[in-house]
Amino acid sequence: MSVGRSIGREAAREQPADNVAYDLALLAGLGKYLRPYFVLAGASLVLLMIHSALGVAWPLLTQVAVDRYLKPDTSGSSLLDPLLPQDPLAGILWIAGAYLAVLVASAATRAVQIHTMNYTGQHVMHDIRKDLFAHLQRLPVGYFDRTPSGRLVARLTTDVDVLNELFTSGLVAVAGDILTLVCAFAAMLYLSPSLTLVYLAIAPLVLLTSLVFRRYARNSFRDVRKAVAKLASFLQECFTGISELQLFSHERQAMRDFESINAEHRSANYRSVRAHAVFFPVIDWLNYLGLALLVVIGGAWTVEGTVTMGVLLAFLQYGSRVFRPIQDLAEKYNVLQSAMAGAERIFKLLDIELSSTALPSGGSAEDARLVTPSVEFRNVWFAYQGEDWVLEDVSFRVDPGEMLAVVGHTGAGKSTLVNLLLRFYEVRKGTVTVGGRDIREWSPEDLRGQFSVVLQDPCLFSGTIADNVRLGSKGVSDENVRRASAGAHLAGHVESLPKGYEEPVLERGSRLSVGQKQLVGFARALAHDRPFLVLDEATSSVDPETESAIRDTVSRLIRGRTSIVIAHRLSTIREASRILVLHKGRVQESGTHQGLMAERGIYWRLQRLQHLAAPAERE
Amino acid sequence: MRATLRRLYPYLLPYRWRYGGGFAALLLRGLLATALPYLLGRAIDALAERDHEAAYQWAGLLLLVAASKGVAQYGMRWILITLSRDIEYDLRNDLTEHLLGLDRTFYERYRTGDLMARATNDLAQVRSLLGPGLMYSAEIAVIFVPVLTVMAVTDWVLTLLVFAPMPFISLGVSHFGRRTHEQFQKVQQSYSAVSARVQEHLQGLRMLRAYNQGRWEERRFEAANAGYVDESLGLVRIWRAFYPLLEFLVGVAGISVLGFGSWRVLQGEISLGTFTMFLYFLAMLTWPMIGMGVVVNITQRGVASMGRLNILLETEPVVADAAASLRPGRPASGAVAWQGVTVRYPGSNRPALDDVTLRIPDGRSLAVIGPVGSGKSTLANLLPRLIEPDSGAVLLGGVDVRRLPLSVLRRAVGHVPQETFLFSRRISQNVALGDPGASAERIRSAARAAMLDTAQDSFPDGLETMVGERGITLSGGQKQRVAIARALLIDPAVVVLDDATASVDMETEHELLARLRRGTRSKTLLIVTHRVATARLADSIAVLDQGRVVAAGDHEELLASRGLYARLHDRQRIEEELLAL
Repeated sequence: MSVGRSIGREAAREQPADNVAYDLALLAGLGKYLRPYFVLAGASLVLLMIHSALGVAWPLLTQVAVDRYLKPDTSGSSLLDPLLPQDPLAGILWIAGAYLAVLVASAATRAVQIHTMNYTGQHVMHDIRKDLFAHLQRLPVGYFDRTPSGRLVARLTTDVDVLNELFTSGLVAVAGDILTLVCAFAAMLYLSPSLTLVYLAIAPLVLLTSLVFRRYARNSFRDVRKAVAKLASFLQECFTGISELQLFSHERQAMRDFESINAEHRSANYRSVRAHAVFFPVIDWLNYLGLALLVVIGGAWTVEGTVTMGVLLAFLQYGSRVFRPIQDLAEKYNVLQSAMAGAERIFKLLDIELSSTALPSGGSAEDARLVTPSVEFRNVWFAYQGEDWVLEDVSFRVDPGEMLAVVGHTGAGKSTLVNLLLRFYEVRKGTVTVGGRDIREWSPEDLRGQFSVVLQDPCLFSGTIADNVRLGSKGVSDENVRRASAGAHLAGHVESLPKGYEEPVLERGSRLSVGQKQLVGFARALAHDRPFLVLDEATSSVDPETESAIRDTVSRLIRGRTSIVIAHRLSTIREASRILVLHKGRVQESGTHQGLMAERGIYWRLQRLQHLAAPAERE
Repeated sequence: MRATLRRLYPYLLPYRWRYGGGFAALLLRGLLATALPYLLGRAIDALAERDHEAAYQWAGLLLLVAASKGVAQYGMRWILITLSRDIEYDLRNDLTEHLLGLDRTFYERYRTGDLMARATNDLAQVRSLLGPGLMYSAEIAVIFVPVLTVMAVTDWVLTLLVFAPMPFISLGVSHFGRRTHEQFQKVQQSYSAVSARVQEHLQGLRMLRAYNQGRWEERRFEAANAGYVDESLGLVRIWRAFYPLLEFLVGVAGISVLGFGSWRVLQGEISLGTFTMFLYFLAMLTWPMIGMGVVVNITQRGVASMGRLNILLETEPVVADAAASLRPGRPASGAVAWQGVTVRYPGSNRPALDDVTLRIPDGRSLAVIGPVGSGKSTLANLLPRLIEPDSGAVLLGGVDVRRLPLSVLRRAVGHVPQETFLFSRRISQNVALGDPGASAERIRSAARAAMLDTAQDSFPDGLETMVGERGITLSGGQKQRVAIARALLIDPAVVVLDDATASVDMETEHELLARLRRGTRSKTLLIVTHRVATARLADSIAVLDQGRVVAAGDHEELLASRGLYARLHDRQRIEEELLAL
């Protein structure tokens, strides 16, 4: 589907309104990234010019060889004349030597040019990726909830690479083509302006053919892309709905439909084949027409003596290479189109206004020093979308050193409390205060720096076990890691591994059990010794041994911290100073376990549900 | 390589005459192309002798031959490239047909994206091999022979000198081709590393934000980012040596003509026209020399892609008609029985179904209830042979389902899966999936039976409303009712509802099930559900837990036995109470 979609989008882009101004704006955006490499990019362009200029040397040298030695003609003079020896054999050796020198110089420039161009391209791509990634850091959590991660990954990978293509094989190649054209014409004019005019007689025909071809090829190219997109989306549906197709014996009908789409694809390609099959021979023939014109008119002039044989031969050499760039330009157009689409997507992501989404960070570092570790929600309302309230008028307070357990049925809004407290989202109405200060007055970094956090998904990253406990915090020493792991009952297992704490965690922790992964999450929270604890208990079940390790670690974590725990375990709930029962986004009950059980309300029912869990789920 | 491509021969065979025609055109083009520099050389010679008449004639002939060459070239391209499009068409049809016949185990192994890539990109690579790949290699072979002959006959020493750099060019192309390939693998790896880092970051986003690890992540991303740049520049290092070298070697051949050829002219061994001809031959040979590298590349990629396609084409469906023991005709009745059925999924240590024996008499209904992972859906999937049992048998109308032709079996079982898939077509087309020729009246009545009441659902164009990407998005309940209508349209003997009413509201569900049971010819009904309220609507209920039938009976009996069923019942009652609070 993604294939079909992106193709469809590109096809759509090609349509009308050729927003030249818009494309220029995109190029300006790219230009900004090119600026640090200005010297290299400039050097690359100069080298490209030199290379194109050297490319015209060959026919010039042919002319000199012919006019001076092979068919001596005094009217054919060249700049090289004073340098050339009289003896023909020596002269020819001299010319061969000169051409060898040109070849070496040309190869050397080309080598350096390839290097500078790609070095620049790669570093520009590097910088764009770097900026994109840094940009992701600043986007609010909500953005990621709305955007499929595959799409973001594509922005940082495929789209950037397409951009590189735009730069290296698009723009630079076009510049090279144009330079070659200019240099060849300059050389031709230098040799004989009149013969140049003769040869230019075919230029309108070449241009016309190329334009007709470009239009035709573009249309057929678009048809092909549409057909490919159609093919892709049909197959996509078939593969996704394969069970339905088979259960309803629809395979044969599906095949018939597919065959007609496939045939459409084929005939679109036929048209494109025809365009190419006609274009190349026609251009080729026009080329020979030019040569014939040179032979006939230029030939007459050589007989008259106004043009030398060497000049004519040089023109015959140029004739075969002058119009190649024009053909190339006609073909490059498509590469440029799709690259522009990639650039557009990248800059759209970079352009997401941070002002509207970024968290204002009031307060300085000094203010960050916490006075009293307390948390308060005061009449908090929140909705992820519009007026679909997830939290309605929620108020509660956790005093220093207290532990609040939050319980509730699925969808009661428990995790949203955490999202608001850590400022992943902003409250709609009401206030949340931490240490007596509105969290909007904290900088997000300072605020989050107050919390040890354990989330439902322990989120292991590639790296070693120590890396996973420490994350990137420099303040967490090896000693801290060891102590925290011991505290989370992880030390025994880790130390039995061949490399201990330096053991790599493979692909999201595939070598650790579910329970051990949770313990790594606890160790992380212990290692980051902070005044508050936020714990969102995982519901997945673990073996009894790990269960008791978790129980013990939870009580260790709670000790000496102000804690908010979204609790599923009765053992955890029992440690709480107070229990808050959230139901349909509202605080419905609160109190102690005994008190709430006695009320026989929501809490009582939740406990009975827990108790009634089917064996398979409880396992 | 030959083994990989063997599968292609039958595809090429029907087109052998067209291939013949294409190659004839290609040969003609090669010969005519060789004549062009010769004619040009003669024209120059005529001019050198101040004979313009002759020069004009040679020029005229040049244009004529060039035009004929153009026609031959057109014929060559048109025949050979369209031919490759035809073969691509055939191959893609066959590949798709093959894939449509493969069963669920296959589709669980391959991701859709992977299959798509093979059906599009890989097929395109194979097409390149059969079209441009074959054409270019023939073109290269064909151009060398006449050019070399004419050159050697004219001046074999000069010819030898011109071709002296050739072996180096071939060596260079293959050496750098290999290194490029190796380095490209590394580039791909580091590219995956970049993409993996972004992915991991996005997955752990909240945790990283909570611990303020943005800088750390940027550093880690930077390492991957820089690694990718390094490997890419490794590729550039190869290019920056290869392309200039190639250019240089081709140029060296030019020096031979310019230097040695000039000397021959001076000596009077060859004419100025022949000298010109050599210059032109040189230009003509430059592309084939470089083109060899391109052909090698196209071939390598084409063979690799064909290898990937072969893997798909060689996969045989596990679920297929067992030719030996088929019994034609519709099953005698809708009675269903599972006899000692065990199913084991690969990689799982506990069977999904463990020696299950159950039966539903013709025209009656059975509800299967149990917690997540108890094997309910597996039980349902066995009936239309979406999966096969490891041991035991499933009977329909007293006959093992494996002995019924698949087409017959699937017309007899109306299966409504847990997750419904609707195609981006009209609702009516989705309903008529099993019988695209069904009359509007039949479609309407199936829709009615499935409570797909278009007035209530207010689809903009009724049953003719487009669904999916190009149309409206249906709610979960609407989708399920479309799927039920789809199953009813084929008028099956057995209807399997695999949690198929979970998103339908309770009132509609009751009415729907009642209608199903009231139908003119009442159907055998298998209802898989986790809702007690749904299960109690069936004639009898089986309770499944960890792949085993732990209890069976009607609602009252099961409640009375105070087992798993009663616990589920209590749980759901409390949940309802909670919802009501």
